[in-house]
Amino acid sequence: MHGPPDNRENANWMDTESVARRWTKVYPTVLAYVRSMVSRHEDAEDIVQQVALAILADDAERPAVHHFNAWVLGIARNKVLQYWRDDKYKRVVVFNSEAVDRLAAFYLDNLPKHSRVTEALEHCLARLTQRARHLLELRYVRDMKPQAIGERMNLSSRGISVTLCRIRESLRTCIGQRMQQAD
Amino acid sequence: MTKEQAIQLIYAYLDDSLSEQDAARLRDWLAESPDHVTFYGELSLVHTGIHRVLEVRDLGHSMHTLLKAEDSATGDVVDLESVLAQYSPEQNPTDPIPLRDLPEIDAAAARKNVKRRPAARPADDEDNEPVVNMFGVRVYRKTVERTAAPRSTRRFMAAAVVLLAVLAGVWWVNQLPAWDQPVATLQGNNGLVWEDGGTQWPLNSRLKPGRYTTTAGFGEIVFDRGATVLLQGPCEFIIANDNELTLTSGKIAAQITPSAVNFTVNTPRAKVVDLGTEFCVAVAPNGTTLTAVFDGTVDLAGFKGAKDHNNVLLGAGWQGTVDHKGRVEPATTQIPPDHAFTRSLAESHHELAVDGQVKWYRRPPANVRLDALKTKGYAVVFAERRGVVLDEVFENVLVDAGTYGEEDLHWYSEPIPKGTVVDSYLVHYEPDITLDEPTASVSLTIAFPRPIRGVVWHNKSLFASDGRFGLPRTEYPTWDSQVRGIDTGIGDGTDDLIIHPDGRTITLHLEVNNNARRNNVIFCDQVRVLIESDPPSNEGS
Repeated sequence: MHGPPDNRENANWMDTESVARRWTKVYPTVLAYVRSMVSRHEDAEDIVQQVALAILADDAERPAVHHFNAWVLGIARNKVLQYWRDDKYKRVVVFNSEAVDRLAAFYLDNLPKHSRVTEALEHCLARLTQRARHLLELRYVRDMKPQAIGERMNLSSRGISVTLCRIRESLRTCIGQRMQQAD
Repeated sequence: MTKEQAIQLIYAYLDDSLSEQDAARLRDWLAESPDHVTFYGELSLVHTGIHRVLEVRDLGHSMHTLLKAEDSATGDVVDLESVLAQYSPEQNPTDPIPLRDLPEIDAAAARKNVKRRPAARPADDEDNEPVVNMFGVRVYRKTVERTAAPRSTRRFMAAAVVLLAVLAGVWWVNQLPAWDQPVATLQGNNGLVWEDGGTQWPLNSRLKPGRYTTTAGFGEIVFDRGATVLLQGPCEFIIANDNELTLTSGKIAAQITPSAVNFTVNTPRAKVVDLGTEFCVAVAPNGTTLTAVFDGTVDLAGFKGAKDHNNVLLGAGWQGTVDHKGRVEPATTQIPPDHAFTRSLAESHHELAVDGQVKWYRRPPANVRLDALKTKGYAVVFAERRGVVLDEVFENVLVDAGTYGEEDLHWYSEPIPKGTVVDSYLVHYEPDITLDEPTASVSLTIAFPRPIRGVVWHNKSLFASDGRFGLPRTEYPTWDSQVRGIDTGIGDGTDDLIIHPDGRTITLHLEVNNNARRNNVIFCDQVRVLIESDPPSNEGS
């Protein structure tokens, strides 16, 4: 009589439930990383979905738990590069592969702070005027580009871009102050 | 390039509105120094953070709904132009705008703060025709000219306006929901773990609007309007008010009382509105939303950002999906018996963890007789009776950890004592194979919620125990029609059973061939597992 094999002794193995749990935690960072380079929302979401599928497919390649986040961001990096190589998208690309890697490292380093940044951002968004939040809502929820917003309002897209730029800079400053206070 | 110029180019790139020429400038600047990439990362964190917060939280779905409601038909006015006019492009474009130094207002509260003006136009002349602004809302661009009133009248009017403003302010404040007030109660839990891991919330803890995250277990919260929601960890959700929540990831089940009709569950890509029902919602990490309706009807709507909603009404027994782009999939399907939803806290105490070639039928089959439940490539497990008190010693069961197979015959364990209370589960495997496919097999592992008290494996014992543990609405094989149980080298194939050292998990390798059918004797593989019965205890976590 003998007992069942114990897969937990294998350091390179993660079961599907563990992968799902870790993916849920790292997902916002992966999405943010991809969105930081791929400005079209739908394309970014497609890429993240491909990352999720790749993670589930590569069960034999799953790394140990402490390498999981780096592994996932590496897959995301490859998917983004693949997306840029795909002729059908014809996107403007401003990154070389070194910059893509450095950005991945930046997001990996900032992963522990992600929820704090989100909390600080929620606080700072509440301090915006409701009208400024409406503008952000048009840009980020309705996915309207500055030009589209400008055309609809009969204003210059330059004016919209400047306003969006200033709102985001005010939020960046506010987030920094908020996190400094928390520290 | 100056830092200010870099900031503008970075945001322009993130807004997908960078010219080829500027893209080349930004590319060169990023290649100049690693610090430039880090700076880009800091700005992109703000960009992606806004996206996530607005998209996922209240200013995502709810604001979209709000803006749709602020249609020209309502006469509501949102004069964004005035705020844009404050920011001239000639100013330094990267200067932050001043933020309000006001008490914080919850995002959900903010959406209640809609300026309302009477739908009537302020004047009826052609020059003052309203224009439709960016929200599709009528805006009057021109100030209505009025004849100047005497100073005393103006003072009186000013005082009246101030008084009215104060009264309106008091009224408005009273209309605001009390965002620091609890709107739901934690009524029960089963191993619920909150994200920080250290929170100990006793039963009847009151929950305020806000964001919550669980990492494991089940929790039952009752909203003040009457909706009961079962959280299945890990899940992340936001309580918006006493009849609405946003589920950003994970699964929930909702049971709605008449007072809570129109209870709403928002997800990043969908909106589920109850129309008097019991339903479950699951949100995948990419936002895909699955909704299953067990009773009544719900309205499932997709959310496609700038585009319109599309929706479908789901009736009892049906499920629908909104994909990660907010599109409602046109084909709804019947809820499969092996659906993944736990519908109540009581049910959560009977959760199985299955792995391998097995499906857990949460809805028990009506028939496990010959040819009634044939499957390809998987076995089926389902719960039978719960809380059965053994009125006599139960023999011919296996309970000791180890491997039971043709090579490891050790087919004896101590019987289950009289008076033991057990819950029963049946594993069933009858492959859908033809005479040309002589053999089919499956391997599976099932972890039970409590210790196993005995595995009923013997053909005769299975028949003998159907009456005691079987479900009244399920038809079981009859003695003369079928042979079941684990085969030890004789029968329809070679089967193996492993009882794991944890005393809660079994692994089965089941094999069925057609020799028996050729001989007109029907074989399948069935195993009944009896586990300790443990009535749920609703202790706080």
